[in-house]
Amino acid sequence: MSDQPARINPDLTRRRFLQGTALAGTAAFLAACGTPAKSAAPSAAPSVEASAPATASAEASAAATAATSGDLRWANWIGYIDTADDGSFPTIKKFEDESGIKVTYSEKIDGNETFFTSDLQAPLDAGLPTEWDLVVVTDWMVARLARLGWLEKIDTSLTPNFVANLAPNYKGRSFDPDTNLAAPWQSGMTGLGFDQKKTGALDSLDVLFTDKYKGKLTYLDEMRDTVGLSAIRLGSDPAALTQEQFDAALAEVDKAVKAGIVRAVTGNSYVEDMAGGSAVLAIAWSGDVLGLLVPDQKPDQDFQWALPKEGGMLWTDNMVIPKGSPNTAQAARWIDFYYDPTNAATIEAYVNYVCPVAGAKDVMLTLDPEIANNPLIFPPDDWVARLHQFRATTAEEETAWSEAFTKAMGL
Amino acid sequence: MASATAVAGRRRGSGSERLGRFLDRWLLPLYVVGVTTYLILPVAVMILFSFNDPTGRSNLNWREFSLGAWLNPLGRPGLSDAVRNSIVVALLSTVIATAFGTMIALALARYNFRGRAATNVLIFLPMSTPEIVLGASLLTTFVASVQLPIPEGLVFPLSIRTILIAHIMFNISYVVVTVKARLANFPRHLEEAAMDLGANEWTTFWKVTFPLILPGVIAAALLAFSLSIDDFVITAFTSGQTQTFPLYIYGSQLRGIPVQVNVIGTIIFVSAVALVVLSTLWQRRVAARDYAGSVA
Amino acid sequence: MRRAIRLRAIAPYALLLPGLLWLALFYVYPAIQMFLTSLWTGNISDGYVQTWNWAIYPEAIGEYWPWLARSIVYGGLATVLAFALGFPLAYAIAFRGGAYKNVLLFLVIAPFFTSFLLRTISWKIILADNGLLLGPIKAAGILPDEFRLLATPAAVIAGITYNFLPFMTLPLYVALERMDKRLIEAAEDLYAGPWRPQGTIVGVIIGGVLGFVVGTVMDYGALTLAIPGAVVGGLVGTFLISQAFIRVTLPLALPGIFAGSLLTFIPAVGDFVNAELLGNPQSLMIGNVIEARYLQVTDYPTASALSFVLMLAILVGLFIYARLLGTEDLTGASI
Repeated sequence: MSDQPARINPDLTRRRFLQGTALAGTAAFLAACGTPAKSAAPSAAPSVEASAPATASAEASAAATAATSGDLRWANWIGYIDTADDGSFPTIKKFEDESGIKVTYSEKIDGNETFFTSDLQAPLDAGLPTEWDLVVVTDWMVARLARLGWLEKIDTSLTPNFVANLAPNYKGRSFDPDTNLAAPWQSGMTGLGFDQKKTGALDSLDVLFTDKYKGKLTYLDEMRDTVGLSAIRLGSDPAALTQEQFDAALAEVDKAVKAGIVRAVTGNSYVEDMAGGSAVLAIAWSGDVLGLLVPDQKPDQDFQWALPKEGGMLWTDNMVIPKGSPNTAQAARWIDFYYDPTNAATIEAYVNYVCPVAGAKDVMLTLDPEIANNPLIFPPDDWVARLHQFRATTAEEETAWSEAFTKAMGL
Repeated sequence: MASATAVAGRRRGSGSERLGRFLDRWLLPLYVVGVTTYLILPVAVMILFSFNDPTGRSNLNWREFSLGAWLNPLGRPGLSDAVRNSIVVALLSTVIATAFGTMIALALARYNFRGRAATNVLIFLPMSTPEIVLGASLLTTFVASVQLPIPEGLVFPLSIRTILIAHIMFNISYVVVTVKARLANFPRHLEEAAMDLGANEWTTFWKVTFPLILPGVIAAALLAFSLSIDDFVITAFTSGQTQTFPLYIYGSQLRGIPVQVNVIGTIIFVSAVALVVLSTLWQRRVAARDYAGSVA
Repeated sequence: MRRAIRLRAIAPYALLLPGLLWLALFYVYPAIQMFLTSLWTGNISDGYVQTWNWAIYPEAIGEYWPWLARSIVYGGLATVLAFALGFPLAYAIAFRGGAYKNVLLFLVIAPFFTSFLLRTISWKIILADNGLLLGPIKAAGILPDEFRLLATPAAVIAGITYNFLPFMTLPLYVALERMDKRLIEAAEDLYAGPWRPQGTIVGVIIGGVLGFVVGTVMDYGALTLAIPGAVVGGLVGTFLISQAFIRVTLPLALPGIFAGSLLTFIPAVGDFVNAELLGNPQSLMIGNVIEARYLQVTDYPTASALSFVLMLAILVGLFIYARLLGTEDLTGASI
């Protein structure tokens, strides 16, 4: 199976063509933001709004201001936006000054399921608004919320920047065909994290399933990451995974856990295990090694993150508006603000994840060329070709697969 | 004194007694030092790492000494709000739960009434329920409350009020158990004497009963405070937008715990130490005054 | 006079009212809702329906009894260990504390004043494979590089023991402190003094064998548990096999033992944080299952059913234990 080449996700193929600066200079973007762009290649974006005249933005903000009176209540993950030394959030401040909208920003989210259970499920199930106007959740949670009808549509007439600058591979995703439910916030890659001093350079997924590092390696407790990598190793494409392929991929995971090869199944805490020398190898998220273990990335440092030669997973955290929010216009206004590449680049320079805003790389080249050329933040084309997204699941699959996965994890 | 005499009296003992004395003099203190070290070690590490200057965003490996975090202890977004909320909830829930719990303890210890056994079981149940069940069931209840004629904002939307409700709930049982222990060998004749001397129930309670159970009440309040300020699981379900310190720690664990968390942890620890020392000193003074009074 | 009698009849209920009302509204009522949840069928996407699906109980127990059993074993071992560690400590503080009594008591409760999340994270720093403790030992070549303390069942049990040791020690201390010391001295004079070497020997043997068996059963190196087992057993034995101790101290300390072991065992069985942070996939407990069912699989009925099974198991165990120790009052002496 493994000698069979991985099928390439059509979205990703498209992304490869349009990667980088190609999209940066749509007319609307240039007019609205006045940010210089290197390339003026016309947009491949299909939406009508993409060619909206420059005034659209001004009109949109006027409409937004007219319709808004409440604060924007926004729940995000911790450390997921630029933060000044005194604890303030400069970019949010800038937004408040520009828009006149006050933001109640909370770093409350510590897990998709936890947040779903504690903040979203109960009120939405009862047909009530939640406490939030904007929340940041991962793809599959967006899919679930969309399936349940628990999301407000983003009024794209208020978000010309979003329409123009969303990197094309994020458009028309299976759970959001009209690209008006979820605005990508950050993406991240899942691959191999390792301690180079102990393991040497690694580039193959096989090392995760053999007992070479028995008791010294960790898996992630996110089903889509761990099973996704296992599927890629077996030559399946996570973007089009069949039940049989899922079973085969999970069986490999199960075997490794039962054999004691896997020391622990963790969330982000594998970073601690690696820092303390307890783990030398992990299924790891790109931003962690960069942000948590070694902020000043050097080529010869001990802790490395590698995209396996077989391929890796790509996931995205998205801004969505929970059903019943009274402040959808304010939320749209923020989304539009973020999709201004200058603002996106400012945030990116701090959070170190993969940026979904086309044009941000150009801005970053002027701000900090080192970050702009870091493949973990702006992945090069040959990486993009190897990245897979886990496909949207049906309700039945979601329940059955997550149940099967938790079983394999020892629960 | 008595034990010193006893030891002296057994000085010429058999071999086994000599071993006993050896154990008593050396092994037991050594053991106590060992176990207390074990208990304190993680706290010491936490304090030590509050002076660290870590690489990156996580504070896991010792690098070098720094006062940076101490000079700016609240210099993280949301941290001061989280700490303030934790303290407010802990104080209020301690006061209310201690009042309610002490009343229940008094009723259980002093009266024989129908439903006493059932009350005992009811007090015990929250302590034997996994926290996650408490949190999840409270959340369901709070949300379902919108169908009831309750003013909006009281229990829904979730807020610091709902955290407080939950904390009072789980604290009551611990207060009852703690205060009841103090009431177990309570000198009832003192109360009876006061009543015989013409004091009514109210005066008797405040002049006789309350001072006697006060150490137990203080212990219960300390326990309630520490349980509340440390609660994570139940709070996560009942907090809505509100952040508390444990929620902040757990959340930041995902992206690297800032050194400031250790600083705040240390400050809370030191304040609690100060509180305990003060309450001990105060109790001593009261005891000394009472003694002086009774002598005079 | 009649008024006084009526007051005495009402007084207990008046005292109970606010607290019990609170518990009724915010514990009993939610618990009933939770119980009804366990009888739902459905899934998160299509919604749940109340179907009175009683079959979920045998199903849940049939599927998850190994986790339930493991939790009881871990909780039980942690309780025994906490007793073994806590009793000598409480004894020392109560009888030999002298001027240091308050300082020592304070050291026992001090961990409570630090967030347990921070404490557990501290343990991870201390016990990491190349951390503060093992790093130097391994560098000196005393232990092989593969040796680890974290991510083992023993780490989980040790973590639980650590977390609840103060809960065990304090009630023991209170019970011992209340004791009339003259009674014990009299007993010591009457019998053979406080210590006996036989006790030490028997304790070492029993502790060592117990550690060996547990270590073997749990697949965690027989010797690694046998050695601490022997040490702890020796210490316990030193105390236990003393006539004065068995006939006087122990019976008088029973209420403390009861309260301490309950305060340790109950939260220990339902704990999931230690297993999550210090364990491995083979050492997860029923609390982890409930958490995963609730938060990851969003299978609320099974999560609720397992919660009720756990509560029921704890309650039944409690009543048996209370009968065995002859404590009629569940919330008896404590802390």
